[in-house]
Amino acid sequence: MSAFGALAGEAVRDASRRRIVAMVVAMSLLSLFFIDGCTSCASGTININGEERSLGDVAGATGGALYGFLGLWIVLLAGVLAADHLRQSLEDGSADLSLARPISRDAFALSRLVGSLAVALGTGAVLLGATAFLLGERSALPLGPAFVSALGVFAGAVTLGAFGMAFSLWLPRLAAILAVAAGLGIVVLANTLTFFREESANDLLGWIDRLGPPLATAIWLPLDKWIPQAQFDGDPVAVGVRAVIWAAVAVGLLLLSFRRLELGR
Amino acid sequence: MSALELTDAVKRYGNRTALDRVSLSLAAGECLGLLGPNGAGKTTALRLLLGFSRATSGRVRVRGLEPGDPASRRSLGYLPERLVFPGRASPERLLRFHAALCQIETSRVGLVVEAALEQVGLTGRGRDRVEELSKGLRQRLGFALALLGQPELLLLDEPTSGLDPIGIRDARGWIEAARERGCAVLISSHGLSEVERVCDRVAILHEGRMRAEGALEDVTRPGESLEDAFVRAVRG
Repeated sequence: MSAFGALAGEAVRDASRRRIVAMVVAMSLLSLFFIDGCTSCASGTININGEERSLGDVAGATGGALYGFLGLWIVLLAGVLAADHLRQSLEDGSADLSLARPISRDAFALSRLVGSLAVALGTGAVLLGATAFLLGERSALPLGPAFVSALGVFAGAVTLGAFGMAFSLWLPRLAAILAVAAGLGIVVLANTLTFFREESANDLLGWIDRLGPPLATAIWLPLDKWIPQAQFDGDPVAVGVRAVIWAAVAVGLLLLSFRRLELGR
Repeated sequence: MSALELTDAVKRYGNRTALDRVSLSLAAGECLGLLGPNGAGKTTALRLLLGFSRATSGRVRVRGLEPGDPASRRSLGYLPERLVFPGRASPERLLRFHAALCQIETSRVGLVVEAALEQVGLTGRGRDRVEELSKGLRQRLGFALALLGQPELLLLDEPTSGLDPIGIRDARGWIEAARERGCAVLISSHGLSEVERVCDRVAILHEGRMRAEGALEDVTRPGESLEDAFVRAVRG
């Protein structure tokens, strides 16, 4: 086994032993029951503005909202887990033995990122996979948009996870976790407001939406094929490229920060 | 080429100087005892050598390489003062993990791990959980990890901590065996009697400065013990 493979395996084991993971598993199981309930009523009717509509007609909108919400939850989970995963091993001293071996700091930091992402994305694979499968089976929604949206979740998880891990090297634990949550909240707000604005705004949120990490846009934009009532503006390719660039920036910041870090005293 | 070298190494944390123009070197097969009261700078020196921390000024080399270069740790064994293992892991799994980090060939890992467990007296305990091991057995595991792959340089921080008298004697044997095959050993310790028995040179640090350094007979005066020499060096 390669040194990086061994480190990554250890980081995944370490991440899966965290108490928060038991909570995430419990919440995921509950979510699966919720998803099952949400997707099982495609044969009913609903009254919208006095107009009787089949639930199947609005399945795309509700399915898209559900899938988009779960995608953001996975991105948040990746950020929160990563904001503690490297720092904890440095604080308790368990990193010392590994870092005294002939491995680079980059490899160590990346392995810790892989460990926290494995737990978050594993949860995501189950939740998003089950949601897409049930929506496809019960509401005949195409799976392609779900797959592209899942790539957005992946890029968002890498971005927020790497930023969270980098923040944890500078900030106290709680502050790093709050920074992750606040960062995601601001970007989601900026991305959401854009959908309701006639023209692109020149305020701070407008700039964040256009130039910042497209954490929500990359997840929601592909899902517009499920929602014929709403067409989102935006070039999916440009959004995808921006998502990849931000993921690379976040990972670069993490590696640079960890290289310069003085370990313990 | 020296196994390790510190030349006029300075390390400052803000206004506090943890190491002040300290110079040290260690050749293959030598054993150096790094002594000093708490806060003298011993652990700081070890952290510089491991690349955990960067010197503010001066030169630090491990086997001729900068400590930040992972290659400098290719044949290095380290036993930290505070050993932290994942509680559920077994000694065998930990050794396999570290064998992978040391890039020991996969085909040899089984034999190397078995030999390491046998050397430190943990045969038969390889599959136990680390959390089930006593402090002394954990320290033996720490030694097994440090000695894994027959390193050319050993950095041992309080190596006999938690060991019973038999364990201490065994540890002396492991260090002697390592030296005999040419391994350079740096021991940071408060255990003066152990250092006196194992090391051929000592360096005494106090408040970040080198107070005395040399062969045991050079540091001590006639009729003086190492403890006397240590107190004299520290108190002035």
